[in-house]
Amino acid sequence: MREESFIFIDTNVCIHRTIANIQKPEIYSKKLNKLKRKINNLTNNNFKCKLIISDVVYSELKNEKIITNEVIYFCRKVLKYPKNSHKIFAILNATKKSINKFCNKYYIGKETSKIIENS
Amino acid sequence: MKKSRSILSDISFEDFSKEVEPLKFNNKKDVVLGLLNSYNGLNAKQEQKLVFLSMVENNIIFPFNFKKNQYGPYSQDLEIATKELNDEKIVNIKIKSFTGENGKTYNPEERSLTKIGKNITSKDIVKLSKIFSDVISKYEKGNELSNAAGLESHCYETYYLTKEETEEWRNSVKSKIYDVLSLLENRLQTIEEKKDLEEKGDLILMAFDYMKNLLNEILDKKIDQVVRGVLIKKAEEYIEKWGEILLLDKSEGTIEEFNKILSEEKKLFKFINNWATFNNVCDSIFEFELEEK
Repeated sequence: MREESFIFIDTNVCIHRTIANIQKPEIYSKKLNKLKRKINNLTNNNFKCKLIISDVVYSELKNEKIITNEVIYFCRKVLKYPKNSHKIFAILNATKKSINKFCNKYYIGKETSKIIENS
Repeated sequence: MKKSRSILSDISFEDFSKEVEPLKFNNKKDVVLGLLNSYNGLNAKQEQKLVFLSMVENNIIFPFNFKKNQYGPYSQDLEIATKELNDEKIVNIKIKSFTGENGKTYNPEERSLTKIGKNITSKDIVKLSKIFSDVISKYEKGNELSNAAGLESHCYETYYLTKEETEEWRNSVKSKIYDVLSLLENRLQTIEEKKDLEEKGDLILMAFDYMKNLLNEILDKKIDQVVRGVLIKKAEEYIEKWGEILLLDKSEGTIEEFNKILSEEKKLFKFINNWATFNNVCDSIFEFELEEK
């Protein structure tokens, strides 16, 4: 991967890698671990690229309803949690708390977003 | 036909899911100072029961672990904090003997603030003092605070405690838990029938599932009487609170009334979760550890 590469992360990836970082062995699935490894490789700059959270993704991640929907969907479909399990509630709370840090770290702001789009 | 209004359906998801924190005090000595500021001269049993009741009746989080002892709810940490304040000459502990109606002599230790103690103040101590004053006024008869035995029997009755754990008592506690579970099941059905709640409904049902799991956990698990008693009482209160919310939603309640009761429900839920976690009954639903720093 070239040094000047940018990788735009989408909302789902942000949410899933956050869930993958929750310290609860039972929630790990192969899919989550793979994603976690990929993101860690990227964020540790092993591939010399820059992760970016765009304007659209940023506003989606700040939207409680979207996060709730995505976490519920993921827990039910991928982790096979029963509908309305309190475990989903716990993961949702942890995700909401944790995602802000990641999101603020890689959010590039409106201006930069436009510059990249036009370059 | 005109569709009846439902605040629960109309309220935005953001407003509905906004977190509300219960009051929390982390400093053990502040709690003792707040209590003695509001009533100077309590014996050890009164001190223990008043701190316990202030905590559980107001859904406030104190850094004390209450367990059942011979005289009801008791926290060793509270006793240690008071003794340390005595060593620091902030609280004075002295024996105050008296003869009871039965002719027996009793030697309880009375706790009061010293001159130094009276001059110590902080925002939290003032806040705590106000909370304790309100609770104490509930347990005053005339101008006199209920004695230790009165507070003790109130704790025994309200929180399903017993001096002797008999089979009959165990069955009555179990039966109480089943009653609460069945009440929860009714509320659950009402919420499930409300199809227009969308994600709000999911959140409510997940909270109900937590409560159900908690009640099942305390049904057979061998846990302390006080820990279990508080959980039963509070779970019941939580379900009743949802009853009030649903009633208000059906009737012509105002949005302010609705928000007030919703906020109380959220505080109560967090209190229950904190109590269960602090006493190792189950994992916290709000404080999952995350790997990343």
